[in-house]
Amino acid sequence: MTGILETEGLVKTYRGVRAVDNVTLSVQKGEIYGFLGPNGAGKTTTLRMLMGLARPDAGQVRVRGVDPLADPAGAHSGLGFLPETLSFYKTLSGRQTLRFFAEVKGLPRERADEALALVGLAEAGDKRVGEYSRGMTQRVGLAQALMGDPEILVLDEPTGGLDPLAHRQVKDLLRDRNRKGTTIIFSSHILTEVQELANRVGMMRKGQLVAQDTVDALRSRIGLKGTLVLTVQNASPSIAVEVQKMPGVDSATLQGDRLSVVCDAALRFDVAKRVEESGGRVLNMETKDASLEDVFVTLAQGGAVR
Amino acid sequence: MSWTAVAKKEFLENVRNYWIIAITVVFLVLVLVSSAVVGAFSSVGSNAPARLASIDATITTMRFVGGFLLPIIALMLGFGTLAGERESGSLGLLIAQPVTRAQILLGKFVGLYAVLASAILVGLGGSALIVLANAPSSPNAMNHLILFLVITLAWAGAWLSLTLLVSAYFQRRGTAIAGSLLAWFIMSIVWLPLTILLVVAAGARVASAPGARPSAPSWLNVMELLNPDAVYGGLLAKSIGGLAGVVGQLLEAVVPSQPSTATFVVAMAAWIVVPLAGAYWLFANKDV
Repeated sequence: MTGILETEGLVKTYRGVRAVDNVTLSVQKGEIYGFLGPNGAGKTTTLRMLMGLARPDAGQVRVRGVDPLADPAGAHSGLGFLPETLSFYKTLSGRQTLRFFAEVKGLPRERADEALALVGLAEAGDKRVGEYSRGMTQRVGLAQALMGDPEILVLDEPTGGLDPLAHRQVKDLLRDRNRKGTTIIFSSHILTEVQELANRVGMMRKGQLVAQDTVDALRSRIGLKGTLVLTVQNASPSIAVEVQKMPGVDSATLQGDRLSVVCDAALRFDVAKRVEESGGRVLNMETKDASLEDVFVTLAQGGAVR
Repeated sequence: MSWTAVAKKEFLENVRNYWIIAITVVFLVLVLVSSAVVGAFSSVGSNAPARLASIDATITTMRFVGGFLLPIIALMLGFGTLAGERESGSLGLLIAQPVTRAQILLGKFVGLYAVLASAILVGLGGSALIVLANAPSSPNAMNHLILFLVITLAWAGAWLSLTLLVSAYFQRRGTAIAGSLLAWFIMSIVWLPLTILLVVAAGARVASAPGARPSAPSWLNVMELLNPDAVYGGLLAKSIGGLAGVVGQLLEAVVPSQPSTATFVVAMAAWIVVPLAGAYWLFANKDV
């Protein structure tokens, strides 16, 4: 194991059901790792074992080489965590809550005030957390995770409950932290967010890690084809028929002067040539890669990686 | 140190609990009213104006009121501290910080104990000071009061420790409060009648006449040590005298030799340490 966060052969069973089944993942220093999977796939259970909240039935967890169950203080120092289900102490104010976490982390209490300002809660800091909205509570959660500029961030659904503006702020914040060297692993249901942020993704399905790679590599390993959109002068249905006959082309659909062709990206110049040979004139050509959503759906429905 | 941060948080969070404040005030008022009632009865037939009862008589009142209310305050403070936070998710966030579970448990115990001790010192200590200032007292009154408060503080620690054990065992707030109430019901309500029943069934003889030899099964002493309330009563009887409570009076009547003061002290220490150690074992080995 060589990553900053690693699991090897991780297994967790609840009432006879394997929630996590032989998961081996590795998050490298400095990367943003997106953790994906349908509900109940085992993402949260895996993150909980990474944080030492649940004891694996088999396998190992290492945070910077330290087992979080054997040495929680060592594994968790310099690590910020945001759980999926957030709950704070309702009678304490946001400021008191963050001062408490600052003290537990061994940070000066001023860091709590800085963290409050960072998530836009400086003015509401003296209100009781019990009076906060879900979005405000989520901001307090993010503030406690980010406090002290941790080396590693483990975030379970970090943008849950946030409005679109806050959503964007969080993404910018995470990118900024990552540029400064913070390693981030996060789970999310928002696939565009994962595609925008993550260098690599891990995909869970029925407790197993079925894929772990960059989005581009996954697309290619799954064999997902992109879509080529050509704007054609003198377009006619016969051009679409001719293109459809080409090996490596899955489909060709003509709508007005736009011809959409699902094929390997490498075929794009051959397709353009066939259009010209068939009497059309290519005015413009765009390629659209398969999205992370396409990858997700394919894998979630049982697709395999090569 | 991380445990001090946890202790401070627990204190800050629970000292504002309206129920704890209300029970503490009830505590203080009940002791003063009881003392006034006992004082009024004492002055019946004399020309002296009615006053509060003496501090020794008030200690007996405090023993009665505290014996009922203190375990309840401990239960209210402790039952949700692990089970409730586990259920809500805040315990998971705390465990994910650079802090060990032993530090979390120690911090929680110390913080909650500080709240409990404050309730005792305000409720019992406050009423005792009022009585001392307004009623006649014997030369040993202050010593008795201090001894009573120290033993009561230790007993409250034992109940808090027991409640933390229950809270560590259960996963949810609802079951934890049911478990805590069951523990209280067994220790404070069922234990004494059960003891009497067992002693009678074992053929114990009460030393009702002068010179008669009392007899009791040898396990009765052990049974007394297996209940924090009985240990509390025994310690009070040994250190202050005349305050043994029903269990102590029963024991005096039937048991030729009761456990020594040192045995009671060790038993009380064990009642604090052993449940806390059990709570740690459960907390350290359970998923959160």
